[in-house]
Amino acid sequence: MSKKEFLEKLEHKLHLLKQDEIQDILDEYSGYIDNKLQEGKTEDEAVADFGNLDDLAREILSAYKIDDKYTHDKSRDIIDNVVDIMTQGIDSAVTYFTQHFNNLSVEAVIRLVALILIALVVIGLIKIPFSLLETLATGLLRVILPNFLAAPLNLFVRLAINLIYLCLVVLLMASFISRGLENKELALRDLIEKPFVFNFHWHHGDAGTPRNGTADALNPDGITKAKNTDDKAGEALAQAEAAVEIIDRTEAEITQTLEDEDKRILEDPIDPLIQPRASHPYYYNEEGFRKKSGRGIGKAAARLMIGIVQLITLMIVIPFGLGEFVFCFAFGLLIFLLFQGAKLWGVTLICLGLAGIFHSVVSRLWRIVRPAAKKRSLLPSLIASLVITGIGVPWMMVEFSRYQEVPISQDFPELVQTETIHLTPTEELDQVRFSFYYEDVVFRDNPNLGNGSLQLTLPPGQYKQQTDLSDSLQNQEMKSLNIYAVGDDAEEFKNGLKIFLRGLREGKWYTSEAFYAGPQTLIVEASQPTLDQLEFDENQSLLMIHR
Amino acid sequence: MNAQFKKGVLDLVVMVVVSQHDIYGYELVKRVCEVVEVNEGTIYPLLKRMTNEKYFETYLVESTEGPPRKYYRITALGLTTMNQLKTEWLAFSKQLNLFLEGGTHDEQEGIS
Repeated sequence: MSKKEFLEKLEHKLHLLKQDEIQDILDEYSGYIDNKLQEGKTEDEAVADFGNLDDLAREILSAYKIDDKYTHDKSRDIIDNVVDIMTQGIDSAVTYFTQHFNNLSVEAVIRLVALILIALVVIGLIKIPFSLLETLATGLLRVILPNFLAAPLNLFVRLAINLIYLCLVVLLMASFISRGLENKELALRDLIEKPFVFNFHWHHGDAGTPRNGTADALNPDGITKAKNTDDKAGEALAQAEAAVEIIDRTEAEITQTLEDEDKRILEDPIDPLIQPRASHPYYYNEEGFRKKSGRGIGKAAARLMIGIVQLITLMIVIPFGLGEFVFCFAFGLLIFLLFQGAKLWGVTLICLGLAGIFHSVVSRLWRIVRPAAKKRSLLPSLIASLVITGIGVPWMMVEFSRYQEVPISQDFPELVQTETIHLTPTEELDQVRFSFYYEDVVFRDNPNLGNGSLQLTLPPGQYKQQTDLSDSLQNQEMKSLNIYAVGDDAEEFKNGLKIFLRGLREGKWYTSEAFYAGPQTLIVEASQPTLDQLEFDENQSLLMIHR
Repeated sequence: MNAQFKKGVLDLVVMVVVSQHDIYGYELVKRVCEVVEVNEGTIYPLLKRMTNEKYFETYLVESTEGPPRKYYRITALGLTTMNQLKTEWLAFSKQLNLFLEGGTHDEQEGIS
């Protein structure tokens, strides 16, 4: 890191302090670096002497009684992570290679080239299963989901698969190149048996950087082991498994290591004390430096992996988060409807349950993206959500099945549904009778229709209305209404009558008031008749309304 | 060497060094490292903290070789605290040494 970079980063991490304090501190450290430059160190070395930047910043802030817990700038965590790692990785890779290429013989160069070619072939071969996976996944999604949903999901799935493939490739290439630089005898078996070997000449001895412990915690165990011991076959195998495991690693492990790191930092703030420089702190430690850059690649690769996994997880979290939001919104909407009278319990419970499930998923995934300091148990809320959904689904099905008695299309027929009813010829030639049975009918001449009204519109003519309360009807509860058309219009009436029927259980009807304003309009309010309660008898001459 | 040991005495060491004569950061780190091996990344924040707690005060001195240097001087409060720490340390280490040599003070008396 250059002096300028160091000061900039330090400034950012100290942003909580007052500007003049920050300036003071920066000047101080600039002075320290300058002193060291005078003694012959490079900027990189001078900066490295301070140890880990995060720890340093924390220590400085603690001098102002600022607790790390509340200041950690989480908003830049991921981006910082990935960018840092990438620049670090590139830096260390460059230094590492320049050093090593100096030592290479011609033979080794040829071997290296051969290895690279083999690596390319292998990469090509590996692409095949990934492509297959991609095609399968996208095809499946297209079948399952409707088109508009499938398209973005497809994109996302392909992106994820390609990212994984990319990581694999990077690891493979790194390990192959490291082998090539080893100047060792290579058998082809070696390549197959131990595909992932990171051999960067680890030595015994003190750590080169104060952050050794933390770096170890970050890396998968296999690579850590290899760093601290000699190169052994068993270690290499462990490395191989561990390196592959990076990709397959479960979220718990990643979260765990990240949380461990956090915990470690929090518990042991003055970390640099643990691993001081092997020799006097002020003098250039050549060995340590080389180790550092070599280690940098392994560490950088692993941290890159973790950064990428975090990114992927973040991408997964977004649709789940949106889903959660939608379900919460729907739940609110249903509560509102509840108060309005539409009691859709089943659907309400389902929305609540699904919102809960989605929330649990989001929380869990978010813990990978940002390791949280405290562990909240997700299981109870998840179980509760599942239970609620489980209750909601059958309830909803029951509710909806009930509605089948009155299918909506029957409830809301076309505004005007005409039925032609044949009428009963009466003894009187000029009279035609139309009657229907009803219960508890209230006659209103008010055209304002309310719930459950049956409205008859009769063609213009003269009518008489007769309410038959006779005992002749067998069923006392039923009443019939007879409408007679009298006079000249009886003929027309006889031939057919268009009755405008509307039946609704609940709700308002649309009418044109003018149309029904006339006195010939009878409004019969029955207790909630619907169209399927209206029945013609066999002769098609009687229209009956019944319960 | 055990980190906790170093952590424990660092305050005291730094204070003693500053109390001997006014000193600037870089030189102080060198002096402290002669006594106790630490990473300088630890010492600078510690200096800052102690200054904030009014154990030290600072002043700038122009330097021919580069930017002005910040010198640290111990305050009266710092001196008192330092002496306190010193006494505590001496008592503590004495107690510990006795313990390590086998038994407490009373026991020793009993044996001899």
